[in-house]
Amino acid sequence: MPRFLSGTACAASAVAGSILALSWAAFPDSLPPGASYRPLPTQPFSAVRATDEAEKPAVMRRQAELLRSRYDLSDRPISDVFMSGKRKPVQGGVRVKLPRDVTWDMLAQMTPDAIAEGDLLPAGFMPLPHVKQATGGQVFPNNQIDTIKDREARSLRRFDVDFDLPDHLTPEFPPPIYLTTHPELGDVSQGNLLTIKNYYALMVGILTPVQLEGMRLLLTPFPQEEFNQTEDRKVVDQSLGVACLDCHANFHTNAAFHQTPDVRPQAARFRLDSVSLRGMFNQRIHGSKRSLRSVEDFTQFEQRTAYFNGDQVSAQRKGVNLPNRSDQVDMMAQMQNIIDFPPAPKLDPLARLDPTRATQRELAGEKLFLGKARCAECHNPQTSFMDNEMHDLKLERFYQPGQTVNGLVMLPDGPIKTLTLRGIKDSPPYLHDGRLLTLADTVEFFNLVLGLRLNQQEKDDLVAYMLTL
Amino acid sequence: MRLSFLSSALTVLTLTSAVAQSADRSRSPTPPRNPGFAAPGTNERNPGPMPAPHQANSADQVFILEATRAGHAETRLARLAEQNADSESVREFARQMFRDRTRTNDALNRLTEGEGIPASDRSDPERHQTYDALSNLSGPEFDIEYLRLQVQAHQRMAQLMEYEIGSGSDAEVQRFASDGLPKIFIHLAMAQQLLDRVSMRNLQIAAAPPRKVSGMPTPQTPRADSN
Repeated sequence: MPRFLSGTACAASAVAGSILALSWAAFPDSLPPGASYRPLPTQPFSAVRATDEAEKPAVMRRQAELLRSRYDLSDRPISDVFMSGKRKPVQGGVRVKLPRDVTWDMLAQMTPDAIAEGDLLPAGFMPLPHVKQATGGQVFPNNQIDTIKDREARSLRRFDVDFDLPDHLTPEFPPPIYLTTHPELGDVSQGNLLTIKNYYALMVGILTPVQLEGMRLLLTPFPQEEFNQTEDRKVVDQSLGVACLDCHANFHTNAAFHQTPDVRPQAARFRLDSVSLRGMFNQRIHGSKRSLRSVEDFTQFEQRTAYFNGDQVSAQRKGVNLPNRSDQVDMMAQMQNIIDFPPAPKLDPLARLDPTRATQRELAGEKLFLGKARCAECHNPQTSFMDNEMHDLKLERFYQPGQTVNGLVMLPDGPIKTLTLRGIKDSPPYLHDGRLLTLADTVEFFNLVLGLRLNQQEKDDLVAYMLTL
Repeated sequence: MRLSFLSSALTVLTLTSAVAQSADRSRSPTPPRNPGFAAPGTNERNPGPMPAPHQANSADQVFILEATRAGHAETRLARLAEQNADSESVREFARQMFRDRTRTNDALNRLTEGEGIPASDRSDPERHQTYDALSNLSGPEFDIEYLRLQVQAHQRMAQLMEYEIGSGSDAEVQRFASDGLPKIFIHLAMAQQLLDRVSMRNLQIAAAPPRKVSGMPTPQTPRADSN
């Protein structure tokens, strides 16, 4: 018998047991269910809308102040460097702001403990909050909202929040589309955003019936947490919902963001930047945290996750889409698996720079990438600049976790998927939550996190190299 | 390296609540809520539809209730551990917990009085049972069980605070939670490291299945098959 159940305790415990049974209702040792499950709304829709609209300017101002305090948001393109569609320049320069009286070189000399104790980690390296953390949900950039409204008469505009990043720090729109099945054609988008209204006319004769059906499903709106027909929505009119390509525009990204479905409670849910779908064919794990093993899995489960925050209970109420695995999901996956990376004319077939085409700076950058800068240890050129692994960068060595910023608690990120660098100049902002605005920011970030002690020339060379990928 | 980080972390902890290092982390107004989940009948501020301040919703009330109960229980446990703990490092940890918990409890009391939120003084039989069971232990077994309880308690409090930060609506309660959370993580790390050290010194005890005193209380009666 366990030691603590002595003679008198036995009788007492019988009484205690009945008290315990009664107090079960007050979740004696469990956290409240609302910490995991989405509560049902308690206010009528008109009241919610009125409050959200009244608060919206303050919400946007608050996020704008945060962004300004963390980053230099100015429009400073690198001269003569454009994204793959040749319509939008690539932004340059380090944008993350340093604390007062601190330089990058000083930080590079300090230990992580010293940086944490001095509270010296640049704020722009910390997790980036959603524009309205308590509500969360998918937030679309204006170019996507305006185009879909125009072509489909479907509204993606929320009445409680707007997109927060300046347009020049986001991908070109609409992004070009490259197909592995037609490398000879180049960009097949014809300068259009793919929608349910135009995809057939654009793609018949180029795609197979299976791929066309997959594309149709990827362009069909389905109910989503904030875009649905119940009172628990953030769009004015009852909505048909959101399509996969509303975030993954033209199978790339338009920088729409939401919150991770994989974390609770709400204040702990980090922001997620939409990832590009280019090069899915070579990726073994999908999702920054979920490590789903196939794009079929991801496609099938995304309705539960990005759409409904990992809450199948809420999904059931609003209208869950359960695509048929053996038929619909397969077709969607097959369409996603033929999206190619953009051309990289300076790379040879083994993903190495062709010395007859690359500049000295780019070649120097590649040498660093493969050597001193240690990038290739995870971003392996042979494996499409990935390693099909998740890694924990342990950024929490550099700060004390637990502070709350705009409603998001600054927690350790934990292991995150290595994301591809092919076509990387086309998909700012960077890292899973978009906290790094330019490639120069990513170099400074990893310089610190990996303790590389790169000099300025080396940092510039790495950026030059990454622009060729 | 670890110990020096801990001792400097303690220094940081005593300064934390007063220091704002950057505009990013300075005292900013409470983040906005999703108004869809506001308590029915939430008063509106004049003019306009914005909710008035000091409106405690159910998340606020749950948090206050649990934080108050946990606070009292932790203080009692810390006192017990100061007296009964086997090793000096655990006694020192308990003293630290007592000091910090007392300070937090006072702040919580001021908060509930100021906000007019009733903090329950209903007895907490589960935690009483835990206290009684723990007081029957001694030696390294006491240390290990106490530290296990501390790890659980701090994990739970961290999640409760995050729940309050994400779902509460009373600005003062949220500020209390967000100000206190970094310290909870520091304490959690301390408890985990101390538990590791004590366990390694007392492998046999640490390797035994957890006592009933740790973790969920098991209903003694009635059993499921006797319904």
